[in-house]
Amino acid sequence: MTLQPDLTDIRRDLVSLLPRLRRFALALCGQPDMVDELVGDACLLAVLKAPHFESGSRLESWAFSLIHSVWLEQSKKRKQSSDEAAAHNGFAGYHAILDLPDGTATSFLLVCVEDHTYAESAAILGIAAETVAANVVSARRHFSAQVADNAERRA
Amino acid sequence: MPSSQTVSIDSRLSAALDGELNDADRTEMEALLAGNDLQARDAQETLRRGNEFGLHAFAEVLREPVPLTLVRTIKTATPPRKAVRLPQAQRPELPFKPTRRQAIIGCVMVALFAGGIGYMIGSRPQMQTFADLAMPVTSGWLEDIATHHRVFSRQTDHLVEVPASDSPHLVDWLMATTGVSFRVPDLSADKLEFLGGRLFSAAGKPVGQLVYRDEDGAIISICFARNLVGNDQNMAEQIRDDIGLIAWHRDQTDYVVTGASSDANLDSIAAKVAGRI
Repeated sequence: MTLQPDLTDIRRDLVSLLPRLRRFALALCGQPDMVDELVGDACLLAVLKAPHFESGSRLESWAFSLIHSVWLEQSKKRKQSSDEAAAHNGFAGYHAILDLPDGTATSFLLVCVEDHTYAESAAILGIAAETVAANVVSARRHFSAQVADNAERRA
Repeated sequence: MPSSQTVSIDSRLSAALDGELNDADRTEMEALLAGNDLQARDAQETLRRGNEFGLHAFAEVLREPVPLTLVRTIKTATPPRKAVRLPQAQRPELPFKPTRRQAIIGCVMVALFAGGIGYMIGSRPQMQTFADLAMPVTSGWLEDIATHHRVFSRQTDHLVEVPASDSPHLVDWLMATTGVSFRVPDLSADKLEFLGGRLFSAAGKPVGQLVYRDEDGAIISICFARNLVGNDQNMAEQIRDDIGLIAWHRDQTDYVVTGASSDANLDSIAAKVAGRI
């Protein structure tokens, strides 16, 4: 008799990806207290939509897209009710990322860290590839300026 | 504010770093950098420095611990039901349309047949069925195992009763006590070090436990007991707070692999154990 685990499903793969999904969510929303709620909602959506996931494609890219979609949806709701208790996690200390100009963190993360092309990143973020390229330049300049600032402080 | 030429050079240098330039542009940028264009070299250095700083900053984020509640939420999420309705051919109409007399005769025959079956069963009340002989289902044994794992996995200096160095004795002892024939699975390919084993009790039965430690120091154990629960041969994962349990039944033996519920590889480890123990 061969025992086949009946558990090899998308949930395990999503759990394995959690650190990277949380990092993407942090880059996307820039609000440390929102990261886990955003990732949790997107992962539950991924489990529900698992039959629609095309095997062979990159799960993390699909999960990034879902996080982006959930974020857009939550942003609309949040405009209506902004008084929510903030949960705190260790992300608040990542000023280098949180201080990046709007929209540049996700482009830099997808292209430079996650090794997506401009076109793939544009598809995930729903923006033009040229915008992704411009965002990456902007993020690199910003980070470089931070290096210079740090060096000046030490001097 | 940088000039438009600088912006253009920055963009192309950045695209070069990302491997997004076509052959002609790449050759042009290489020629520019190989020459004495200090502005281009400075721009490249600025982008490269920023890139390295950014990579380091994002790598640091991965070190943040993932909240256990988030892991549990995902691992216990309910997948969609596979309610697939297969296309069916239109059901042909039955040509048989019984008359009232035929219907009455049919009902009488069914009543006689059912009565006969009932009489046969009723006349043999002393007969023991298989269900009478089977062990009662014990539902609490997984709780006992989770509790045991929670307590003993933290006893770093007293994790096992018999160490891995005395494996032959451990196997003889646990086989004799639990009545389960087993081998110690080699899980070194999964970076799990075998530490040894112990005996404990769950739901009033002796349970053998083989203890492993991963490279991060987390404890994963294999528990087994003779015919404790039932005959469900499929693996099933359950979570008891911080403990994840994957249980299955085979050859009159119940097996459970236990570890942290946040361990994403517990099910694949259980699958390997099932094939090797």
